Amino acid sequence: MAAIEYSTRIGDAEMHITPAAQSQFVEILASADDEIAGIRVFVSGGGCSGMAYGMTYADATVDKDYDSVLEGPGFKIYVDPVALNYLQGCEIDFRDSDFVFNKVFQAVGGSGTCGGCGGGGF
Amino acid sequence: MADAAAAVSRPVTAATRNAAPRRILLIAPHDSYRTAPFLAAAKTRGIDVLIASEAKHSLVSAYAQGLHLDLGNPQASLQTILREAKRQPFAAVLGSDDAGTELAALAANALGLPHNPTVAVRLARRKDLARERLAQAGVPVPHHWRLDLTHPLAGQIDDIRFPCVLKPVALAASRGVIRADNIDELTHAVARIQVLLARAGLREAQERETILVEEFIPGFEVAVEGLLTHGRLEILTIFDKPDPLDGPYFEETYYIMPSRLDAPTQQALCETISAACAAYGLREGPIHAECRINEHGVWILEVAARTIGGLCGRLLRSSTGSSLEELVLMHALGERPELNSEAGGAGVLMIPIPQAGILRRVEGVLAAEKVPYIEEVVIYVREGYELVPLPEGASYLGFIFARAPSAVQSEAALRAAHACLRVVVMPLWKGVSV
Repeated sequence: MAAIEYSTRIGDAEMHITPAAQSQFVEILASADDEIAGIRVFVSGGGCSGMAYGMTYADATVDKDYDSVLEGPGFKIYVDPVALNYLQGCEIDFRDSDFVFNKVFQAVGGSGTCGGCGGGGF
Repeated sequence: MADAAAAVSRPVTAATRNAAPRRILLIAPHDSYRTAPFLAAAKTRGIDVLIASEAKHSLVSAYAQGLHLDLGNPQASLQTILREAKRQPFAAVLGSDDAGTELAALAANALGLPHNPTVAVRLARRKDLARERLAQAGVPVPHHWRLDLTHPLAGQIDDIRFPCVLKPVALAASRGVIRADNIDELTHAVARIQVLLARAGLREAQERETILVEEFIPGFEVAVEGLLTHGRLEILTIFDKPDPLDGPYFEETYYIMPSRLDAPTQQALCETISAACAAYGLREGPIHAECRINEHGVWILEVAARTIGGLCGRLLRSSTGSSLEELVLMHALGERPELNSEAGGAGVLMIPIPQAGILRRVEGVLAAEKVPYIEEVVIYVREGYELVPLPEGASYLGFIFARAPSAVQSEAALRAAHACLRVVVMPLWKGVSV
């Protein structure tokens, strides 16, 4: 059986980075240590308060077979496959000192205060 | 205080003890530090503990297979507990954390088990109400003011004396506690606490809309663990906090035992805490007190109707031979273990979170564990998780435990071990989703 090809390249249709966000990524990476490979975009939460979207540095240990990458002028964005599912079709912008995630999956309703979805503290 | 008058403590005789089930209901939030130590204590002592929580879908079996409640609906939760008690009786109902102590009191009352009045437990949980009650009872309290966040600050802050400390009225572990030395700092602190209160998941509107402001009390700070039986307080241990806690935030760090306070000061401490318990109406079970001591005497910062958090209960093995959670469970059953005090000192460092961000790794853990007298280094936050320092944060990075021939050596070992650690934190940029 032929091996299935799995593309780890993120296209513009999957994730669009606005020029303002691109400039910000370049600026952030310019001040990073040499061991930093790019920016990791991640998704967390998923309880009644909805998904939370964030970014941190991706260091040189990024998994090139597992992580998908979006390469722009002067920056690289890494996303793991699970997070990418929630980010399909999103746009990352930078406005008023905040990174803004447009067109992302959001939970509807919920108080955001329940403990029902907690995984426990130990 | 009708509830206080109605509160009863069931006398536990040898006959009832032998006939009673050794089954305890523990009401615990899904993210409580205390649940694991309580379950370990129950296993050690052969006690059947059922966890009641809101964590119906938890991956942790003790929660998922336990009793499921809605803490926002005490009456429905009470009925759930009563149904379970009818199916298989409980000998006691306990609340591990502030969120569950009132429901525990309510349930124990309904089941005719030893309990605190719900009014007393509420006073112990609400810092503003506690201050008023202590003042009424003649227990020394600093000047204090209550800010109503639904009204403009102007007109509410004119009389405030500086330096002062601002506190959310229903959060624990120094969360949201900020010192202010002038009006500008106070205004800034109010705005910061307001954001925290909006996100803290507090159910009662008044708890989200009120800040307690009190005059800063300089002095040496201690934490005290005790057990109440029919209103009589037994001190289990006094923890010294050797580092000055002068703000602007009040992060817990070193807890060292036995206390190096002299006997008259320890006696005064015990008397003041007893007076506070009596003022609230607390009569049964564990108390955790935080106090400051200066030339004017002992000042109550808080007396909570629960145990200490942060895995610290294990330190009581030094002073009693049992963990704090074992003592509390056995006390709830009307049993008393033999108290075997070990010579020497012990201590814990609640490892401070050095900066906000994503935890990349903690280096030097093995070196820290090799420091003489260090028993264990526990890194509580997993790699890749967010670190939130005080005053917004609600948890510690981890804990270092030490046991040594003396309290001084325990403290020195903790400081040496902490110096071995290097916490590598990545920046975090939070996205705003639209």
